[in-house]
Amino acid sequence: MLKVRGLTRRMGENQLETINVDIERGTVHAIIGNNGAGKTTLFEAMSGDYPGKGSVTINGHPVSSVKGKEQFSYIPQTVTELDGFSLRILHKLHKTHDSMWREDRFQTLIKQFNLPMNKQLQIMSIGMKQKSILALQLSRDTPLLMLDEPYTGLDMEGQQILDRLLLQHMDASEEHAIVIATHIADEVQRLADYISILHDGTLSERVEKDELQRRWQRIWIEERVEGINQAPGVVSVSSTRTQEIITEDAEKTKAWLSERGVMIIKSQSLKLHESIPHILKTGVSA
Amino acid sequence: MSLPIEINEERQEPIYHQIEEQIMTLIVSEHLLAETALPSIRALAAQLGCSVITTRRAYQNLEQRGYIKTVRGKGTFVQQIDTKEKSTQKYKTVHDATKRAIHIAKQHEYSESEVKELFLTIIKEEYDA
Repeated sequence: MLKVRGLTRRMGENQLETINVDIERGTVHAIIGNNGAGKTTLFEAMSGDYPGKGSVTINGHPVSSVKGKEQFSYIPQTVTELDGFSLRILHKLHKTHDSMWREDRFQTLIKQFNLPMNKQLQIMSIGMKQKSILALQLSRDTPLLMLDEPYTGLDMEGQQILDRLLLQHMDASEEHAIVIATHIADEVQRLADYISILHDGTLSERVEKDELQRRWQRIWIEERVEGINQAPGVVSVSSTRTQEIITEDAEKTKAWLSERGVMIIKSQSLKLHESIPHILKTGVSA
Repeated sequence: MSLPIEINEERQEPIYHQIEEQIMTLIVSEHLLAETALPSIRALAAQLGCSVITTRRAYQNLEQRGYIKTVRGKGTFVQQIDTKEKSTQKYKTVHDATKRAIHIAKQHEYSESEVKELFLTIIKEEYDA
């Protein structure tokens, strides 16, 4: 549904280099990267707010066109343009001018998040401001949600509510999709189907989340084996009484070990919070 | 609704297979009765921390095997399973679990008579209680 082709954008020290990505309907796609990797630069460009070179279309419509804007809701990481306004004014604006607006949703969200209507956004706490932006954007009935670190500043109750809202969005229609920027492994574990890694301004091919967990494993073996550091897939080896191996390709590593008759004591899949930091260091291998 | 199932990171079989087997066991043991609505593939994926690609595959396999049925726009429901099929599956589940136990005993170099003795002790504990 979202097609990004040859997107290039320079932003301070960040340079995005010919980004290509497809977000498929029915899927949640996480863009992960360390702080400063350029996630926000990418989202600003994808949303059409600060277009770079290249093309971004949603369901065939250019992202900056009126038709395009009806296809998505966007939670930016920082919003300063709205600081001087209260929810009362922003609500009125959407209600009168936004063809995607769903008043019933807004009323529910205002209650759920317990938001004040008359306070200016700039004097709200970070969490409350985030909830206000979420309430405004998630009241729009659009197939795609573009979310740039949407959990930032939310208290635990707010996080739970957002989890539920995202689930509802995906369950509401097979045409719906989410693209979310995050550097928090737990969010990826809870939400994502596909993962792309932003590293040095380039975006990796997407990988299916469960494929990562199939490939990245911890393997314990009984004895020291010659050449284990160079075995296929092996990322690190540490030895105490048993040898503990981290691999990014369990199948290959295990085949290598079995050729040498090495007994595997135990192996287990790595959780994403363990594998992702490794991947962010080196990028994804094919 | 969430299902009482979990993913075991130490099992080497694929995640979709683990989900499939556990749902099947819940159906065969009648913890999930016919017509019960199952969570959506998205809700189940969120519960287990896996992707919808995996949960969809598990549901598709269960549907092919006749355990569940997806009604477009309504959701996924448990199917009526005939009694013969149920007993076959129950037998298979218990058989496989017993086999795994014996396999572990062999890894620890238990002899046949030691395993037999252990099984008899456990049977006594469990059935006399």
